[in-house]
Amino acid sequence: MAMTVSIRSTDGAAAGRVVSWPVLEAGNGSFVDGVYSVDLELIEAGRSFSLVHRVENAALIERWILSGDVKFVCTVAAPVSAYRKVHVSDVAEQVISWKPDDLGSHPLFTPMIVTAADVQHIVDVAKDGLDPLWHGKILRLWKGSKVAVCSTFAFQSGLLGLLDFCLDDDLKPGRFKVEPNQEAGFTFKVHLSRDLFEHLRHGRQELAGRNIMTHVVSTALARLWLDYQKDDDDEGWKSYRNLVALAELLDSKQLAHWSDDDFDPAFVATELYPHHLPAAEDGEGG
Amino acid sequence: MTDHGYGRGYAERDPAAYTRFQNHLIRVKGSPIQVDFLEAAKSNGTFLDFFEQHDVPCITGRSVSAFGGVLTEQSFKEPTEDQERMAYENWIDLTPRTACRVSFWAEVTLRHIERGQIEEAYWLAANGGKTESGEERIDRALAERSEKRLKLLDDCVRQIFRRMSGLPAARGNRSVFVNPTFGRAWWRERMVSRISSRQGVEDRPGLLSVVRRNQEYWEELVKMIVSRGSVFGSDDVQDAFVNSLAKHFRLAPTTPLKAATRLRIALRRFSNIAASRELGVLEFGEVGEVTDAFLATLYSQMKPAVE
Repeated sequence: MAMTVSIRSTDGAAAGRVVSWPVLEAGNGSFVDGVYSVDLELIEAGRSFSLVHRVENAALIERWILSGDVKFVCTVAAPVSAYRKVHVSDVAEQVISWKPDDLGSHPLFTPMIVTAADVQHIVDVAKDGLDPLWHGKILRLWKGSKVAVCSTFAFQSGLLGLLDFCLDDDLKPGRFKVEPNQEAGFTFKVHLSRDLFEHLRHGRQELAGRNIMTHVVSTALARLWLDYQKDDDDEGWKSYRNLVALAELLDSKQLAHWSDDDFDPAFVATELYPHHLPAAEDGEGG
Repeated sequence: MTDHGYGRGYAERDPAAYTRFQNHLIRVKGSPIQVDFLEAAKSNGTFLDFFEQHDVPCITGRSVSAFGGVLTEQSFKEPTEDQERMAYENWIDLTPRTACRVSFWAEVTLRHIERGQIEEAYWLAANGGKTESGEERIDRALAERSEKRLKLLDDCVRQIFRRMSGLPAARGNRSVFVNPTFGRAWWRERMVSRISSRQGVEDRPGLLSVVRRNQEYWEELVKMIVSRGSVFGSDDVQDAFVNSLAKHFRLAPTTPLKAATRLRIALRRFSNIAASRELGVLEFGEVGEVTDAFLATLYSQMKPAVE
């Protein structure tokens, strides 16, 4: 599996930090047309991948890369088990690996480029690819200062990725139930009767399978509404990063989530995964 | 089928069933099921049966050995340094992915009740600083007839869950590091052991004076470690910060930074530094220089503590 994660300085997100040097990151216009990408190639699922950092339209950082004044970094974090490791490389290609035993949930990865030593530099916007505001400024960076920061990503996302299906022979045919599971960053355990379990193993993309999945998602959202409405940052549901990611996903689609007064689980579920109807047979309605 | 599989291997209470059980028990203050649960907690056998009756089974797996020391109600509430060390060494083979699971610590605690090492299940209800026993606290809640009754009952139920396993639905994911007696001991002693094994750090009593200062203080440290997007999770950074605090306590015994409220401010300011600088690329000694300097600067700016 290969993929690329990329940020542009012109991306809409607001930069999360205020620092006294230019950083190539989303929402920070210092490097006017700067792009920072990482190409990922899975080596062993759930254990390792290779990463290649690429910087474009950010002359200052590109020069620092050539002169060896920066290091390439990727942090691996699973806060639920107090895990955070920093992988450091002198070259743009690096291998990131981790031990599942150290992690309590799927890890989050944040690639970045940092200074290899203390740096002092006088900006020349003509040479450095920086916004004219920086011209003539003296930059003083400590060792480890972040000069490019990519998006944080995980290899698991979306609501379907949080569903953990299990066969429950106590359930009569056609039945399912959904339980929240606060372990592993928060998931849902979906108990399925044998017929549903067998059908979803192979037929999740078929008509009935897709509609069952929509129903399961609606039920999972209703469980959140019932038990996880309280929104107290690290005290409530926001302490589960899977739920934070899910809320952000819903926000990005302009959908309410379980802490909102106008949350409607069925509506949100069908917005995400609309029901499908049998296609009209040949000759019908013609 | 998706397999989330993180942490499986040791016996634990069924995680989804335990989540449902906790949510059900804390949903309504003073509900009949809260009363039943507290009544059950007054007898070990009834308490253990309560989990079975409410369909919270144990998922079989490797079992952990029993805690080697002798526990009393007081020491289960506030274990000594030696007991925490004993707990960690007893369970040193546990991995973080197991030790961060409330369903795992729930099972460990229930097994200790079953074996009689936790002599009475009601020990779980005892409140931190109070002299009142768990049994007295439960009886007081059950006997209360004023408007306080609902809250007293709810407080007891929550206390039982916190001490047994952590209660993330109400306390966030830091709960497993902060609240359960055994889980807290494991995580706290793990940190102290790890720092102690490094060269040129403060001695063990010095480190313990930081992490065991009080519950609130430990909780502030944990918050920074397990919060989303925390830059404090890296072992080197955590260890350097705690070591610098221990050194600071030794050099400035009356420092305001001994107050949890001041520590919170310090950690927030420190996270601002770490947000723009990846301290994890520095050698441990270099990180220590940063944390020493940070605390010295902060100390020079702080007024004396009121606490």
